[in-house]
Amino acid sequence: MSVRMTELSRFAQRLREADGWRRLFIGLASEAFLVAAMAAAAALAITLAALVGTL
Amino acid sequence: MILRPTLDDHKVVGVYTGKIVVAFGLLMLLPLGFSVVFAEWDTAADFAVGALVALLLGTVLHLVCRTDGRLARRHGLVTVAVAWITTTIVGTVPLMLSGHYGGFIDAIFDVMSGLTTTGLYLVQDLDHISIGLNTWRFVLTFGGGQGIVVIALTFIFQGAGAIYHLYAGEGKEERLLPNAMHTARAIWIVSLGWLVVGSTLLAVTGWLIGQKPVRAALHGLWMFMGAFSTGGFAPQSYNTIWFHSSVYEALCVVIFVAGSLNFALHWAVMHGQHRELWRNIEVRTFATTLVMLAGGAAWALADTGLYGDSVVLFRKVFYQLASAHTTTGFATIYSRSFVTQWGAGAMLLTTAAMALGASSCSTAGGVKALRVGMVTKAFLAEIRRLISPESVHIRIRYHHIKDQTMSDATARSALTIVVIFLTLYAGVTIAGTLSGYPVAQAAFEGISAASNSGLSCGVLSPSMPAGLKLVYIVAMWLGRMEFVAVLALAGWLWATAKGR
Repeated sequence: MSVRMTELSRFAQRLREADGWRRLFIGLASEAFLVAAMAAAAALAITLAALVGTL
Repeated sequence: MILRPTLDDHKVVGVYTGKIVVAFGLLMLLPLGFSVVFAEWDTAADFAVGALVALLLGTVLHLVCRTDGRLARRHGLVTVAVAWITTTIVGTVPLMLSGHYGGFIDAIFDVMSGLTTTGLYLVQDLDHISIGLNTWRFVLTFGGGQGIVVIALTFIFQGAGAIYHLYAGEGKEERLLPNAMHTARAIWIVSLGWLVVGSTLLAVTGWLIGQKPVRAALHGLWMFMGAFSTGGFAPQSYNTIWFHSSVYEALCVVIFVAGSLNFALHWAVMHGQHRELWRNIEVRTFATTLVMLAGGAAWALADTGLYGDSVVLFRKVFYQLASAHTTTGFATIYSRSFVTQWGAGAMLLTTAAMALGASSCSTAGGVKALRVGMVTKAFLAEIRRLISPESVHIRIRYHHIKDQTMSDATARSALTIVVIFLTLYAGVTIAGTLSGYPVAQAAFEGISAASNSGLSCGVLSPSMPAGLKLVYIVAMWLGRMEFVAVLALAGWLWATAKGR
């Protein structure tokens, strides 16, 4: 368990030193945006398919 | 002539398997801690016994196999395969003691399903199992996703370069950084970042939709682990539909799609290369196939009148298809609804999504988008070659972290794995059909197991034939290992028996 804590504290220190928190959150937000873009494209495809399918 | 492995070779495999089993035993302290906190003393005793068995076995292996032999590539691959079997067996101890399993095969099935991030389950009375046992299911799937070997690399081993061979054996052949230890830590940094943000958002949402704070926090943590590891376990039998919340569903989609992205891609994005998200061949391939399959499923469902409202149609189709394509296995429809409501067309497209899978070097299973993209490009290049003058030299370029040119060997390698996966899919479908299930259902359930997806159309149950359960167990293992480590183990056993 102490090994685990050491790993976590090193990780936290690296994040603080290298402006890591900002980069981490911007990275997470970018990936969430990618998923939203995929969902939007799928929504368009699903709507078109539903329209064609009911014709 | 085949060289027979020496006693020292066997000892190297034994000693590293022992280390991994010890790490696995330490993991059992997590559900043990949860059981103690929530005063579930019977469950705590089950995990104390399980941890003791793992720690004893691991230590004995370590002591008996003590050697100065160095870890080479063949040892690494064999160790991964052997350690996976050993930890699966040891992991059943608390499950068997819990009284929630009909037999040893069922317990083996659930541990293998957890470690391989599949998400199919045979536990009985899931809605009433203890917090400790539920935690163990999610620790298994999260630990399996990150790779039990990577856990061992990060917390047990101390900086040995040859350890990389263990890592490569798990089907994650990509190194983010030159050193395997740093790569393992990089994976944990990405995962921990997502763990903190994802669990918190899910917990807050759960609380806002009416869950009590402690229950919301537990569900937030568990559902995050099930989603980010593309595992598919949920703490209740109704899976995500239990929450009846579009926000909860949307968060799950973001988390499991993120979990299905290549760790090298995560690393690049965290280091400011945001354009990689749009240029990467895996993302482009995955997005294209997801949109096509979701559109196809909507088309198949449109004239059934099942979902009259287009918003509901999108919500149901996108969730199921995204879950299938990322090989997660979360669902917002009942298992039998695939058969009784969706029908053959939509089921077939969902099966195709599971078969294709998501990104390599992620927790996802299946063929993987990188291979699908490469094989497609190679196929298109072949057509261009056919219609071009002989003097024209056609190069196949693609972007994956950097601009790359595909060699014939790379294309051949990708195609080989695709063919092997298709053979496995055919095998599990035939096994299901021979066990008496209709072809479409046998394909859906079998491919779900082999691609480590976890969606079920209702074939899987404790009362299904034991032989088919065993087939699915092996299929989950083969799919997760991408065959390489399993073939290495088979070769090792052959060489031990017949080599000189």
